[in-house]
Amino acid sequence: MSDPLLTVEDLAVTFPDPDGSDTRAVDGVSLSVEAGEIHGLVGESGSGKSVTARTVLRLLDDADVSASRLAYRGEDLLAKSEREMRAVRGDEIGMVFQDALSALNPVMTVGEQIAEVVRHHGDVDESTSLLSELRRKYVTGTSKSTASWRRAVELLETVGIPDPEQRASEYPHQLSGGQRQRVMIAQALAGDPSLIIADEPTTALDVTVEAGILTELRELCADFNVAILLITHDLGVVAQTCDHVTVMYSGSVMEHGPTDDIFEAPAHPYTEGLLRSIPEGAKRGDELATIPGSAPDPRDRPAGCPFRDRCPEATEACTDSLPEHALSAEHHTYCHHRPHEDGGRDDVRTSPQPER
Amino acid sequence: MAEYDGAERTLGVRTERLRQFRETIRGDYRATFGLTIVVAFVLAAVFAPELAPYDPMAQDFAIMQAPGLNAHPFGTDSFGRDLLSRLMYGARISLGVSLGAVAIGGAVGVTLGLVAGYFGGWVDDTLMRFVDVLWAFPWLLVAILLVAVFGQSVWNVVAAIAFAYIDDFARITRGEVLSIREEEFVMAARNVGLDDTAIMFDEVLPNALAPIIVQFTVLVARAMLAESTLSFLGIGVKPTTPTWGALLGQGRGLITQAWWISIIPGVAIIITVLGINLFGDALRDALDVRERGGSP
Amino acid sequence: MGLERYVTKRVLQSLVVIYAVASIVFVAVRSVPGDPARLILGGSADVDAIRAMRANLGLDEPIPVQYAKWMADLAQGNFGQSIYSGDPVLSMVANAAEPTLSIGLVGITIAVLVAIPAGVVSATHYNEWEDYAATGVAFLGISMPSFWIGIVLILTVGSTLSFLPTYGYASLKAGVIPWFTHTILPALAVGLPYAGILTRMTRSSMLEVLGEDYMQTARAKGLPARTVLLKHGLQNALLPVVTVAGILLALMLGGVVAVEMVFGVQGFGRLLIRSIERQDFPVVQGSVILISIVFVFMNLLVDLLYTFVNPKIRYGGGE
Ligand SMILES: Nc1ncnc2c1ncn2[C@@H]1O[C@H](COP(=O)(O)OP(=O)(O)OP(=O)(O)O)[C@@H](O)[C@H]1O
Ligand SMILES: [Mg+2]
Repeated sequence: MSDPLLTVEDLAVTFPDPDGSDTRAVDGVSLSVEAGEIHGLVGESGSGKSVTARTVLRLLDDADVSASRLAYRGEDLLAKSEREMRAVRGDEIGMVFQDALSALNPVMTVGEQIAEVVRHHGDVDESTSLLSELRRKYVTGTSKSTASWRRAVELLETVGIPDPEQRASEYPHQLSGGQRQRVMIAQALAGDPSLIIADEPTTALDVTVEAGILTELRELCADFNVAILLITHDLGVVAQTCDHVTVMYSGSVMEHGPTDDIFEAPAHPYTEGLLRSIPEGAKRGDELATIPGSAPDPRDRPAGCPFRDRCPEATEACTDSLPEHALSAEHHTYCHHRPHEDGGRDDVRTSPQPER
Repeated sequence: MAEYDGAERTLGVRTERLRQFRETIRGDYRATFGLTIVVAFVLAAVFAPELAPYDPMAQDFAIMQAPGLNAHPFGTDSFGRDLLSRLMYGARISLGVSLGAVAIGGAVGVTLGLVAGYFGGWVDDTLMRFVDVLWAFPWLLVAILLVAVFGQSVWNVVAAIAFAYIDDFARITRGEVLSIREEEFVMAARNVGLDDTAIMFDEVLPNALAPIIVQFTVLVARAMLAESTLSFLGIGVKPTTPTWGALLGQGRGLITQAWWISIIPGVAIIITVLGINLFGDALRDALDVRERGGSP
Repeated sequence: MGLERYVTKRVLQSLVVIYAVASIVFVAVRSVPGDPARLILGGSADVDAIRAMRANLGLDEPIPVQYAKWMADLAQGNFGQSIYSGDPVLSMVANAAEPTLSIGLVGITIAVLVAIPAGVVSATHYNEWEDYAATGVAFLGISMPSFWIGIVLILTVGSTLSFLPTYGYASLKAGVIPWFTHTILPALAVGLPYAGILTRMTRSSMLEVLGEDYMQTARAKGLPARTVLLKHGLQNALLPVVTVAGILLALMLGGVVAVEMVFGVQGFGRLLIRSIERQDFPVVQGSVILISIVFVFMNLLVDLLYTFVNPKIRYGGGE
């Protein structure tokens, strides 16, 4: 097997707090994304998914980052200068953020927001100097006859926006939520990246729109051979979309492997709990479950397994380390009690799902 | 369902906020510095009769327009009056006028904003249109109109400045009230059947105070500048009254012969205004209020 | 709401405000204790003069008639006549406007040119020495009365750079260079406090923008830091600043009037002050209304400018 596209090994991200305890948002995360695959990164809110994503693009200036490896196509991202990173961002790795309304610039046409990526990273011969960018923004407006603009319109069409010529010269607030998210995707595609990191691209949308966006992502992945790191807290989305999954909990990885393996034979008690809490994962007649308790405070996380306070199988051993176990070549879990067959699902305490 | 525990809950929140506020403000050098300046000037003003080395009106024709010397550290004016003493007496009027004017403008403006924001609908529309009209009178012209009609007096200055600041207070209060009135404790108080006046003043107003307080300090600083401008123009207090602006104005024609007559009162104004502004800025941060523009 | 409807609504609102201003001045003048005519002419005036003055001011008619006449006059641009020269107030103000406008506009230009870069640098260097320097100077700026800055400028710059006159005004008609040399010092005096206010506003608004998601998006697209800051950040940061531009103009009037006195400029300020000293009541009253009208329209203009620079308003809501 060749080198993966993106390799993250033992990533730790800490936000220093001058007058308090530091926040260890990510604490030993490893994952790898293969070219052309859709890789899901799942975990509940606050587990460090977004921080991981942003760290890959080195967008967090106020964080202390360490990793035994953070590599894109074998190149060490942590060793890159800000200037070199600019050649990765948008160009090699595109980013789609959760809330498109706030992630798109409200005072710029969506066409221009896509076209500028084309200019900076695409195959067009247009000036990207600060002055010409400012002239475009404040004086002349974006010319509709440039290659970058035509490409932007094309991209809007690609991501399924009707009447793309017209839409390109509109502002984000004039579009619907789903269209805005499609614009985000078009923008991420504009630099012809090999990897798109999509941070909860559908959380702000309703179910039908969500389905459309997910289909779009799957098609893009196939058509353009672009890999997608899909961040979500929704296992249902993962089941529909992803080839591989990495399950995170409180800053650490609990389990990772092929989607089918994970759904069919979850190894970690946390994953089991998660599966049980989604309708699709529950067998008919099962009650929907929630995992009691809450995640530890990232300012004050104990050593060992972060899930142990909520884990029905926790033992003394869980307080000091988090060992990795391979269930197969690709399917790994981090747990003292795996693999073995007893202590399976029936031991997981369940409680009725509270009404929404 | 909505049980009325508004008073206690807001009280709890308030005590907690107050504690935080004290902590932040104590560690803020701007607050310390600003407050020190302001307190020093207020003391100098209050105790002017005791502290001032001379009678501010006493003329001494032997030492007219003298620069600073031992007997008169800040020099004398063209009538040989001691500038330091005049400054100390002047502080009384300059500070008094500013505080008084902003307090009056604040009382009217806050009430308007509170009523407009709380009742909404046509009450809001009407009152805010009225506030728009107030806005359209520049303070300087109000002062001029008042002086033209009533002649020069301290009260005109107070009235003109108070008038000018009503719209600031009204707008800020209204903005706050609009969001507060939707909060649970207000709903709860309403459900319990408290009357509107009680809700407005006991529940809503205390929660809207932060930006109002910040605006108060900002406007006191601006009022000092406004008062000095009016007095300087000779349309403020009577020319014989030694306010800082008036002192400065007397030096206007003498800049080249006796610069200190206009420069020193100017420095006094600047230091005071700077002190108030610094304090206000620290307050703004401590109370977490957004910066905004405002009236003269 | 469509843009046209918005503009129509704002124009109508402005007209209502002006109508109200005129009415308030009307009421204020007539609620003056005693007889305005006597007030104007002084206690020693004889009966005929007072009667003539009452007729001149229209005070001999019933109040509703007076009111109707007053409004009709205003609607026709008749703001009254000076009781000294008999000149119409409108032309007196128009004649005095050039120096005042020159000083004000050059002052604003200076303020904007200084404040926007200073505010941006201050925000991007948050809590570094650049920030402290810019906010410190801005603080000093907003704490100084314009006229005092004028005095200090005369004492310092005026006495060292002798080619800069410290007295009087030269009309643009006399050439750009004399106009500029006469205008620059008063404009600086007027502009510096505004530079202070604008710097602080730009800074705080830019700080807010720097934390916005779209700024992170722009970075994630691999744009250079300056492009992110100036192309994506600046307009957003300046939007809230534009909304208070009208208020700042109002703020400026006091400064310009006082600075005119310091530099001996024969502008609107001088006209006002002289009218007060001479108790030329119609001029004072007419000027108040005229300036109020100008303010209301300035504010309207700023609002329309805002709708123009803010696509959210220009193109209505989506969905
Ligand atoms: N800039 C920051 N400074 C300090 N702490 C931060 C910062 N950004 C994130 N954190 C903390 O890091 C932890 C992980 O946050 P992150 O946003 O990665 O969670 P997430 O898994 O993406 O959750 P969600 O599903 O809600 O998006 C949280 O506890 C958060 O408070
Ligand atoms: Mg997130």
